[in-house]
Amino acid sequence: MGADVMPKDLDIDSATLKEIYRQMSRIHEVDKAIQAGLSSGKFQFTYWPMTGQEAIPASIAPLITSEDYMVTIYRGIHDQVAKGVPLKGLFAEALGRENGVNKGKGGSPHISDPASGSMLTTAIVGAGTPIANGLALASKMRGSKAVTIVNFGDGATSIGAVHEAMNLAGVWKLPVIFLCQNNQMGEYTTIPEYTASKDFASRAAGYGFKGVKLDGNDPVAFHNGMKSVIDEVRAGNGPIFVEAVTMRLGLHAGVGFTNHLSKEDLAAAKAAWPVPCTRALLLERGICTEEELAGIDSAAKAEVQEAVAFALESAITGTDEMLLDVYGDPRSCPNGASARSARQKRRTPAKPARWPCSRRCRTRRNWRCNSMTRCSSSVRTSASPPVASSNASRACRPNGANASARHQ
Amino acid sequence: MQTKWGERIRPTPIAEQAIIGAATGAALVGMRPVAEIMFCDFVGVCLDQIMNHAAKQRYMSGGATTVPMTIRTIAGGGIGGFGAQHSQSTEATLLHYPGLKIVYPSTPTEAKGLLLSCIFDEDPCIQFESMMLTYATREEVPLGDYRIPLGVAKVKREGSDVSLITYGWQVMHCLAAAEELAKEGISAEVLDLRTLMPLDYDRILTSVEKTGRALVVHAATEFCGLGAEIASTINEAMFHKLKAPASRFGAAYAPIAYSKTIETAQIPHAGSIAARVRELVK
Repeated sequence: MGADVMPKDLDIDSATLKEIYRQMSRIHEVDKAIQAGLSSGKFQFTYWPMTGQEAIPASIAPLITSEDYMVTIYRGIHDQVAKGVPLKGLFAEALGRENGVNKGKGGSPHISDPASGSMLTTAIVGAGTPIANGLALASKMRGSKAVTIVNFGDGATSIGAVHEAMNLAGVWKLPVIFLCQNNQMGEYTTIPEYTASKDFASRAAGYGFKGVKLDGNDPVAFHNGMKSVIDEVRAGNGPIFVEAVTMRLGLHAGVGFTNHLSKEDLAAAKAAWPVPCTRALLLERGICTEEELAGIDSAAKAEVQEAVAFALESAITGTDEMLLDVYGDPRSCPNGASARSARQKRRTPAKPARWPCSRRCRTRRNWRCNSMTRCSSSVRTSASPPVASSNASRACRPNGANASARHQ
Repeated sequence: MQTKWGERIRPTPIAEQAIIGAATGAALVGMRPVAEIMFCDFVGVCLDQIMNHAAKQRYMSGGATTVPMTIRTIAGGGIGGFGAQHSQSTEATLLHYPGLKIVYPSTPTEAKGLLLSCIFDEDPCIQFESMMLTYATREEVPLGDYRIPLGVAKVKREGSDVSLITYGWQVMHCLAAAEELAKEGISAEVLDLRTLMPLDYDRILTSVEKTGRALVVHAATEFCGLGAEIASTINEAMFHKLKAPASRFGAAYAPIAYSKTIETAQIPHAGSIAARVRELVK
């Protein structure tokens, strides 16, 4: 069906919904491949599954380009996939390989891919929000129309950095979208256990900007809601807070379904899982045939399989990378080339290092001697602090003995 | 400045995480922001943004992104009357986070030259500015694009008996101590590190090679301070050339006291530095 066809009673054109499903299918195949790899022992890394939250980035993807910035969190592989991070580089990164998007030095919780606009992934809850403001500030000062979307979970709404960031974004009217993926669980703690707030969207009013609550499991409603949000922020009207209500089907970390829901609640949550639901919707409304959907799914699966094969073939990042990328110039590292060569240059190679001997080291100033015998009452003894007289001053011994004397 | 430069100079909420985060984000996409943390004691409220994000982003992204931002911060010690939360020296804490570059000028000219180098550097830089020096020194600084390269120490006084390796406002105290020692026939060289990371080991070792003795002096707590690190390196690198073990002298292991008498005594000053040197050259 053509892009301009609007299915009856469905407020979205067919091509867009199909594209959203295609992204969801890709995310789902990535999720499945990671869980299978971890279960079989073929992969070894920490995974914070995003199962159940696929519709959120998939519905946003058609509304943004690589010029728009994204910041996300350790539970953010779905965001990366939909933003356009290449899957080969993504898998290689998660596996700590040379060909990873970040040379295997960031890993799954720290993906950055500026080419697709995925600028930073943090493993510190809420810490991406102040940084997103900076990306948005740069866009605003440069007169670009780019928006910045910063993803975080409902748990992050409790942390101070999010408050500071929302306050600053409000007063500076930054083109940033605070996208709270409310998956009902802050790690292992449910919402009523950690806040008395009735919802999160209403908090935005306290900072002087709009907050909206959207169904993050309904790709049509969420896509349309996000379209107005993005348009408004792109127009320069300041930030918007979006509470995307969804459900985390997986554990906080690891593989398999959550064990924090009752059997009935888990069954209900699975029934509302956007991946099968959207697939069923496309079929039911006659937007796609089963054949077309199978084609989308198998293409996603093939893309993922190819990426996994590529990642496994790539070499594990080696120690030659250890001191690279600490600074632009590796010689800036004190334990790097410069300091080592300086030490080697000055060390007398013929003589082995010797410990001072007891013969002449009566005081720490008179410590040099020629004996190879290791000192029994060494420099360290003679240089050690006199015992402080009171318990109170004894507690401060790290500063050394003559500390008190020295500082007079 | 705001009148002249408009929105490039931005008033902020009192929110250090928001300030450092905004600078980090802007730097990620090629801006060169200068963020101000009023006192270096306040790095505590934004340490996550500095140590987990700005410092690590180049490494975590495998060089795909960089954070060319500069943080300016005041070290308030040495004047008295500020209390424990506005007087400490936090440079050693920050030196523990690979990825940060740290400068600590001791003159207005160097403050300008190092600041410009920080701004145009590709890595996140932190400039410590001593409040005591801000009040105690006054000089004309070069106009225009004047830069002092990072990682280059400078001999501030030549000497032959002992190297006083120092930085920031302790340079002033070391120079005064050297003056006092000269009267007793002890010739002290004063090496101003100027940049704490990257550290100029070449000039440190060259100076100690000449004098055979070294004392690293700083206002930060002596225990686990930069002085301990430098002294260890000197001892490892030139054990057999030393006339005495390289040592370090920093503040006593206590928060900075409000009492001026205690503060003066707990941080190295000309008199106590000279006394330590006398022990070394005995």
